Amino acid sequence: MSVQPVPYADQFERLKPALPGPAGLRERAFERYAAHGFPGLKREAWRYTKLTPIAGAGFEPAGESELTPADVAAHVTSDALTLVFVNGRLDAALSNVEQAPRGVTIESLGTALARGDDLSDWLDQAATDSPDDALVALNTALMNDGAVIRIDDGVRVEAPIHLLFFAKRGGMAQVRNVVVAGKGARATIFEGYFGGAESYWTNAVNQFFLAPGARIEHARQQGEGPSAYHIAASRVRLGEGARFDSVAAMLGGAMARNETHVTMDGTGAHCRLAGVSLGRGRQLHDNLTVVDHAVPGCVSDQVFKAVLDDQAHAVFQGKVIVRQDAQHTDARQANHNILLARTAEASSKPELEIFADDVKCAHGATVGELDEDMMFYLRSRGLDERTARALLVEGFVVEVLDRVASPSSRDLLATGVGGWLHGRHGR
Amino acid sequence: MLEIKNLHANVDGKEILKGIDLTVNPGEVHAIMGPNGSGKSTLAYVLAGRDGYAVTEGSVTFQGKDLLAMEADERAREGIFLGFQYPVELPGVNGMTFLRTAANAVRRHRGLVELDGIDFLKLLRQKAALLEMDEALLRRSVNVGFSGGEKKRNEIAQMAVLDPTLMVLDETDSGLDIDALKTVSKGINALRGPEKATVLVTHYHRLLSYVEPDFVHILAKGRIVASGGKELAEELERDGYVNYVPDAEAA
Repeated sequence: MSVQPVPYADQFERLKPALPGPAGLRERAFERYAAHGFPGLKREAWRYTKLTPIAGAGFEPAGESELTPADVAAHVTSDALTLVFVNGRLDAALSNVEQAPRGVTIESLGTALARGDDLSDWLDQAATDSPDDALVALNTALMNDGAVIRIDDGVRVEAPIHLLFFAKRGGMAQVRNVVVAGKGARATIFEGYFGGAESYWTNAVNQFFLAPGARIEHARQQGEGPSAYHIAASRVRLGEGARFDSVAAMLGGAMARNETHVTMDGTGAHCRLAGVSLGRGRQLHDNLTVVDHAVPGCVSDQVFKAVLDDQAHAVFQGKVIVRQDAQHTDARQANHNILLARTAEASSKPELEIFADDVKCAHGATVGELDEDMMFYLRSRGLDERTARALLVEGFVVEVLDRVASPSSRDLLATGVGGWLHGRHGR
Repeated sequence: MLEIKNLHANVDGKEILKGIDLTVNPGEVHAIMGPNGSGKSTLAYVLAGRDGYAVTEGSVTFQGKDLLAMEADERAREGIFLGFQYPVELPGVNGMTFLRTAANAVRRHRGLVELDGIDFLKLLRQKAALLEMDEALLRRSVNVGFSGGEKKRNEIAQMAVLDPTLMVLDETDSGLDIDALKTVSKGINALRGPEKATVLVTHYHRLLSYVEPDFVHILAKGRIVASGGKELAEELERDGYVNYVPDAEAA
C-alpha cells in the first residue's frame, strides 16, 4: 500500500534547512499539519471553501523580486512606521521604521529569528490556540517572514504601524505576524496585501497578545490579485481590560478566507470586529470569527457586511462562546449582505454557545437588495440609478470604515474600497 | 406648467386615483387637502415617479413634456421636487456628498456649470442659515439620527439647493412644532416666485396660515370633489371634511 504524501511535504523537506529559527518547532508543526492534511469541505468551518486548488497547485516559495518605491507609493503613508514585504520577505530598502519611539521594536520575523531571538513561546501559542488547524500548523512549519512588534508596558505608539505585503510573479508566501503589547500599551496596526495577476497563495497567521489594559487598533486590507488565494488566521488573546478593535476589508483574491479567533483571558476585555467584503466575478470571501468569552464582564461587538455582484459569494460564520463563568457578558453580532445581482450569494451562519445565564447576547443577519425607499429618495433628488446605487453601496460600506479611528488606516481602506466601487478589481 | 388630466392610478392593483384633473400655472400655490386615505400622498408619489404607482389612464404634462414618460430622476432634473412626508434615512451616505451630487446632476441638466466643493459649501451654508439648520447636521449621514423637525428642515434645505420649478410638498407640516413650522414656511416662501409653482399636500390647515394658497382642492376617494380659494381651507378647519366626505370622521 502506497501512502500518498501530504501536499507541501516535498517543499518542507527541501526548504527546512534554510528556514530561520528553531527546527524542532517547525518539525512538530509539520507533523501536526500532516496528521490532518488540508481541511476538506466536510469540516464545518471549511464547508464553503474548497482548498483543493491550493493543495493541488504545490506552490513554491515566491522568488526574489524587486519593487521600486514607485511601485508601492500608492500604499505608503509618510506618517507611518512601515515594513514592506515582497513575496513574503522583508524589503528593507522600502521599509522605514527608524522613527519608532523608545520601548517598541518593529522588525521582521526573519531578522529576529536569525539573530537567535527565542520567540518559541509566542510562536508555539499558535498550536495551543489552534490545535487542529492544519493551515496554521503548515504556516508554523514554513513561515519565513512577517512582522514582529513588541511594545513595552505603558508605551503608546502614536504613529500607525503599516505592514505591507506585495506579491509579484506567483508562488507562495507563508507570513507570520506577531504583536506583543505590554500592559497599557497602545498602537495602531495596518496590514495590507496586494498583488498582481499571477496565481499565488498567501497563507498569513497573525498573533496578537494584549497584556492587561493594552489597546490595539487593527485594520486590514486584503487587496490581492484576481487569481490569488488568500488564507488568513488571526489569533487574539486579551488580558484584563484590554481592547482590540479590528476592521478588515476583503476586496481581492479569487478565494479569500479571513478567520479571527479572540479569547478573552481577563475580565473587562473588549473587542470590536468588523469586516466588509466586496465581491464580484466568481470571488469567494469567507469570513469566520470565534469570540470566546472565557471570563466575566467582557464585551464583544461584531459587524460584518458584504456587497456582492455577479456570481460572487460571501460567507460569514460567527461563533460566540460564553463560558459558564462569563457572567455579565455583552456580545453582539450582526451580518448584513447586499446582493447586486440575482446570481450573487451570501451565506450567514451565526452560532451562539451560551453557558452562563446573566448575559446580553444579540445577533442578526440580513440578505437583500438595495432598499427601494432609499433608491427612490436619491432618484427623486435627480441622481440617476447608477449613481444612486453607488452612493448607497458606498454608504453601506462606509458605516464599517467609520469604525477605524486612525485617519491614515481609514484612508488606505477607503482608497481600496473606492477603487472597488469604481470598478477596479482588488487594489 | 403642470396639467393633470383624468389621472387614474393603481397601487398594488387597487385604484387609488380615480380621475384627477388639475392645472397649475406659474406663480401659483395649490393646496391639496383631504382626509387620510383620500389619495393625497399617492398623487404626490405619482407626480414624482415612484415605482409601484401604476398610471392606468390619463396624462400629466409638465412644461409641455410628458411627465409620465420620465423616470423619477429625470423629473427631478426637469425641476420637480418632492418633499417627503417621511424623509428616508441613508446610513453612511454623507449629506454634503449626496446633495452636491444631486445639485450638480440638476445643474448639468440645466446647462449650468457644476459647483466645486467650495462654491457648493457657500451655497449650502446660505440655505442652511435660512432654515436655521446646524451645518454639522449636513455633514452627517443623511437624516440619520435627525429629529422629525430636523428631517423636515433638511427637506426644505435640499429643495433650496436644488432650486426646483415645481415644489410638491407632502405633509411637510406634520410633526413640526410651531417654531419649526414657521421656519420651514419661511423657507418655502423664499423659494416662491413668478416662474415657480407649489403644490402643498396637507391634511391640516395650519401650514396654509404661513404659506398662503391661491387655490385649495379637496381630494376624497381619489377624486377632487371641490375647489376654491383659501376660504375653503378655512371652512375645512372649522367644519372638517364631513360636508365633502359624508362618511369621514370629523377631522
